[in-house]
Amino acid sequence: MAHESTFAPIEAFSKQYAHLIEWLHSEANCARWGLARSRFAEALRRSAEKRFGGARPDAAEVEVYLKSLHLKDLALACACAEGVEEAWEFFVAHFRQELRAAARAILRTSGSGDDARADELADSLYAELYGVTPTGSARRKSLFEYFHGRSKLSTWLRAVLAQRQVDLLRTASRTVSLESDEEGAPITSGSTSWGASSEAHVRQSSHTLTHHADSTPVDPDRERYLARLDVALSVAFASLPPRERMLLACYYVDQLTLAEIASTLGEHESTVSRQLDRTRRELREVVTQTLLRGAPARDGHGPEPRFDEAQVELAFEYALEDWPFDLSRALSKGEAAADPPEE
Amino acid sequence: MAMDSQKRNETRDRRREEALARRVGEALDQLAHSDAGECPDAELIAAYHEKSLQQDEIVHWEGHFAACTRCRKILRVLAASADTPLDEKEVGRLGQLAAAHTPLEGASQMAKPAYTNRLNWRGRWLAPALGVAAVLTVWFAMRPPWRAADQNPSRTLIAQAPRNEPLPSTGARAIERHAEVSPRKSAKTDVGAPKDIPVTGAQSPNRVIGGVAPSSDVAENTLQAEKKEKAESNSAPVAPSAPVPPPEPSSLKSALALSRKAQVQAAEEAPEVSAADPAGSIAGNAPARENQALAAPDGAVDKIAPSAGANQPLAARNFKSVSRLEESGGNTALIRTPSRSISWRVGKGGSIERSIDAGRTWVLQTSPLQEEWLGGTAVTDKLCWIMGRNGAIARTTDGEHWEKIAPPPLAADSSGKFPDWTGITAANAQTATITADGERGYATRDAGKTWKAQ
Repeated sequence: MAHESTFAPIEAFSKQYAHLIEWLHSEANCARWGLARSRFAEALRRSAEKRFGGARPDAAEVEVYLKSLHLKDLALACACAEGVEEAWEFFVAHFRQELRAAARAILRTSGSGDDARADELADSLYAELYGVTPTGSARRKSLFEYFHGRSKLSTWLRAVLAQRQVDLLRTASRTVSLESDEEGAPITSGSTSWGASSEAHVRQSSHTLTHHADSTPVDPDRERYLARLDVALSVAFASLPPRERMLLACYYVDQLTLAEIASTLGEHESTVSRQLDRTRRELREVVTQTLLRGAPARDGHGPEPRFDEAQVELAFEYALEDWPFDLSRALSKGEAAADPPEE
Repeated sequence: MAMDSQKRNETRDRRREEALARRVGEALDQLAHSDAGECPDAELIAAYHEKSLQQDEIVHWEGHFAACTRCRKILRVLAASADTPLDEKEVGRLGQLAAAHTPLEGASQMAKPAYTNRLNWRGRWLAPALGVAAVLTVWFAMRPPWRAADQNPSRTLIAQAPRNEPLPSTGARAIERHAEVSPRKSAKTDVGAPKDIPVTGAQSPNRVIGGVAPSSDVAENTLQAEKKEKAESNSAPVAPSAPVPPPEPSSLKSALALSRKAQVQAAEEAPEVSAADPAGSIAGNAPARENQALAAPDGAVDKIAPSAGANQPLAARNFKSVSRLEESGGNTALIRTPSRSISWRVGKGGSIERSIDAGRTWVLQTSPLQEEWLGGTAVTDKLCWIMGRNGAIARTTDGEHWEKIAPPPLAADSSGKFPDWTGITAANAQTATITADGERGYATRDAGKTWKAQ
């Protein structure tokens, strides 16, 4: 999505979309803040540049995009970034409570219901929004300059708060995990619950695998079957739409409930449940077909023979046991490579 | 035997599916953060959350989110940041109400003082409503014997009673009689006075909020109980059109809000039962009103299971939304946003009201036209299109301020009169299609500056 910018410079942009900019300037009610058309045009251009980057969209695409922006919010943000006091007063009057409520809700999700901390989190944003830098440098750069109207201003602010809180907790959990590693104890702190649970889960999985490897004689067929399964599952995973991969991650990595996933994705809980069931079924079906089909020789690797039904059954039996699966092949840009099966 | 085999195969398949999915999950968990690529900034995350990204962007970023624990957490926190819990005062009030709701045996002692407190608190408009309810109680109590013999006397009564029939007034006596009736089964829905009290014969478009009801309407109470059981037996979440179960105690505010509306309607139509009831008899008798989960039921459900409120995929995801013309009252149309947390109510005289608390309270908004609004469609919580009589069209993009949209000139007849619109769909702030009965539709892609006949 990041491209080298070859978007039209401001003069060409303003000229090409003069009528549209005039209309958008009116729709955004820029006159209320005394926001000049040229200033607003610059904001529109930056927004379009961010969206299209190095691509060369046609005028109709740009027009549709610009019209889809939250224009009034963009105008307000521009005016605040410019230091228009009226705009700032309006912003504080209309967004302050919502921001505080969002901060409280965010802290509650991480187990901290401290309203004072929440207000502090919300209010700390104001300095950056206003453009006061910690070092008091002469150049005033407002956080509003990072808002381009693609979402509602309130949602953007909540996203900023959410990012900060998550990053804060991740930093804290990394610090705690370094200390815990020395003692070999699992992480149990509630305030680092998210980061900790994932790491503890992985740690537990690796301990389980190690234990299995140490205590059980290795079945030579098992390795061969698991290698084929590895490839088949990579193929199956690569065929999944990103949405379904994301569902798997939310459910199996983040350990979220169906209700939580539904809330996060803005879906109905039953929809999430159905999608998850379908995804799991697709994985099984694609893996089965891949094993039954085999694969021709390619990229210097030998052919993969077809499995019969009994072999597929056996492969799945092995799959029910602990078995490391490497996703890097599935996520790599090229085709999923396969290690030749041991014969 | 065949069925056992099939069951075994299904079980086997489920185990395999679970095993494969777990392996994928573990592999995702072990991915290095760098494998996921660069994270989106806050604005893209916000836009994804609002479902306002283009499809190619959605596909790209979902691929990233699938591999990035950090971004999934941010999305989760962002979704949670919109949760607005009750404030402390509300929690305190509800706690008091819950504590005051004793089993029915004690209801006769509790109901009166509880009612008195509420009367003092909102006596301005509840007092006359109580009088109406009391009249109705006496009327039912003194009804002819032949009606009592009817197996479903209250249903028959409701069917026969004229809409405008005045209701008896009994005052406190009615409360005591009502408290003696014991139709309810579920403890959590027992709130001192039976909730699912019949509306009475006078069918108000705005349901009964009353806790006062004819004590002899056991059959109707049974009907209400059956409706409640049916609603409860349906698995969550509760769809907007599902039968509304009697509300939980937490629906007092919505009950009172509806009572206010009942007062307004009473002035226009028939005097209706709308006495205060701790739980609010929102269920009502009119089957057509079951879909009016305006306030308490939806609100109550939301309190219990927040995720249940997100009943439908957000319209914006498919870039389409359809008109949701729902009767919320005799003269208004209800429009809900996909998130269900915001609603608009539009109607006669250009009336536009908005609720941001799932219908508990409504705020009047300034309408650009005085035509009767007939319905509309909400694409997001802030973007809503409405349509009305005589070609009236309006739109809000911030949820608060409405602007008139010029109707398609081609829709006017030879005398220059525009039709009454009957349907509208909208994909975003610029794109909408509007139709009138028996006429072709008209589509705009520039917020009404130009229209094309369909």
